Amino acid sequence: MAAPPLIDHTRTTGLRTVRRPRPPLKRFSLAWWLSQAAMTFGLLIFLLLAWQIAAWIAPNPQIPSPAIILGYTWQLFIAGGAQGMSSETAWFGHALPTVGRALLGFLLGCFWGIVLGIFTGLSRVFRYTTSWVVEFLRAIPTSAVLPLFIVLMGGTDWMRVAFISYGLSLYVLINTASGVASVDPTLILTGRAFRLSRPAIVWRIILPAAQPAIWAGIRIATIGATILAIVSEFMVATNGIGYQIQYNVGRFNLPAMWAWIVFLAVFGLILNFVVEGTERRVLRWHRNSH
Amino acid sequence: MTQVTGAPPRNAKRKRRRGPHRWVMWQRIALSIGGVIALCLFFQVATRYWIDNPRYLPPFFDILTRFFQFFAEPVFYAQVWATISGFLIGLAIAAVLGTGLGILFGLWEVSYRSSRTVIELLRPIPPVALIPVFILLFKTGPVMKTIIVLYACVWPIMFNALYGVRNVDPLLKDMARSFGRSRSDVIRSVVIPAALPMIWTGVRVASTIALIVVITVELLIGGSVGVGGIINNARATGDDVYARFAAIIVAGLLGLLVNIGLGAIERRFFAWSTTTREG
Repeated sequence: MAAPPLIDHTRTTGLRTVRRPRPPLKRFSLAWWLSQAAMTFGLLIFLLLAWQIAAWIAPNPQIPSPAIILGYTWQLFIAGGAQGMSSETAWFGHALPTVGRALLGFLLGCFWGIVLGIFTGLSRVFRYTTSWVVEFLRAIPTSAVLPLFIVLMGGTDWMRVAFISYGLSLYVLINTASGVASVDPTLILTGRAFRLSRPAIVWRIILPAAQPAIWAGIRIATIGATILAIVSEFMVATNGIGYQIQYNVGRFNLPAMWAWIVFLAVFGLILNFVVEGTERRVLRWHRNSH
Repeated sequence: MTQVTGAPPRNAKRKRRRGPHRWVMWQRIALSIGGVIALCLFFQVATRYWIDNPRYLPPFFDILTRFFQFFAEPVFYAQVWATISGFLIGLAIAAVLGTGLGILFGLWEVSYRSSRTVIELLRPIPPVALIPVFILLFKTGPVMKTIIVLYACVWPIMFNALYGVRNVDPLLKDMARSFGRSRSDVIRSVVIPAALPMIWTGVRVASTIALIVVITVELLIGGSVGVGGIINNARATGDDVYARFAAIIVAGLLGLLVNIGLGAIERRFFAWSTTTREG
């Protein structure tokens, strides 16, 4: 048996022995900052170090060490270029075309999704007519339709934009339609009692009421846009992030491939941040009303 | 509150009709079938008269015929099974792992806060962007397929489990505690059941992603493995353009099957919950 500790952190109640919690660290003291930093970055640093050491002990050409990957990323995107590709080419020749196509596809897809979704939500006949069709089209994994787009439109930029917007519009459409269809009928009747015209009812009552559902669809679409843009660049492409990843795998230039993936991770992080902020701002009235 | 005790009212035996009137139902079904037929006709007209290039895009009805011919080929079943098995195994492992991690993070704040940075860095990487990487690391095989599906599916399940555990009514937990249940007992009999509908929603979201990932993998690895393989690689076996497009229909049917199956499980087991009812 070990000796009992000097400071007894336990107390005995009638039911069982409860450990008394340690007093919290004083806010903004040095120890507090250290513990916060250890909490936030501890695991990340530990994993990176473990990876780095593993790469020293057993070098594997397929998984370069984090130092090499991060160094290459820095070289490629910020410090002027690496292995025959300048930073300008990396940004303007590959990264921005992907982002541009994703953005264009996103805007078009949201537009068509919302417009069709409003019609689908408003007209019952239209909703029933399209329900099975939409259900089936949505069930097709979007990447499976890519060959069809390639056949129809060739390996052009517009093909990729059309492919992205097609895939996204279905999600936006379904969300918009269900949001519009489930608007409280009392609201619409109230609008009618105030003699609002039909477009005014749609614009001023139905659309705001359906906004949370529409935003849910748009949120899915932002994530989907990046994914579909990259998928579309895996086939018959000459530029873009997806093309770069595949090209560098094919040439066994693995630091470059990992650098593009690091780029994607950072890009996704920023995108998430922007979308969440926008949604919070736009839907502030909605959250407050609950 | 209505009175629930005493003899049932006289008309209680009469079967209550659930849902809309029968006539409305038939109208609905007729319209739906009409929509499907209209779409088929549109495809047929577009492929036959507008595009009119049978070498690249054959007429739609010929594609449909090819689709029905699939069912006579034994190879087809093996290929569909390759897709389904990759999908199911990856999703199952992701469900177990995601649920475990989500519950751990939900119950133990320190573990979540210390892993959060790593998760937030890994999560935004689109799984499809990693397909070439995983092909390189794990070669083209079922193992690689499983791992990539696992990577894609673990996030939604994990986050739903995390939120599900956090949203458990604290009153329920306190009540179980005050009945003298131990902490592990409370987790087993209160927290996990209460979080299950939320976790299931995560599984449903993940299943859509999983199917997309499986088919994309099959499209990219370029063997004739799975449904994606048929779409991609029909050319190797005598330029079977028809099979190529018929396989898209197969992919759609698979997706439909998955949706219907998961929806049925949800109605059977989680009908009591309000979280699963919306959306």
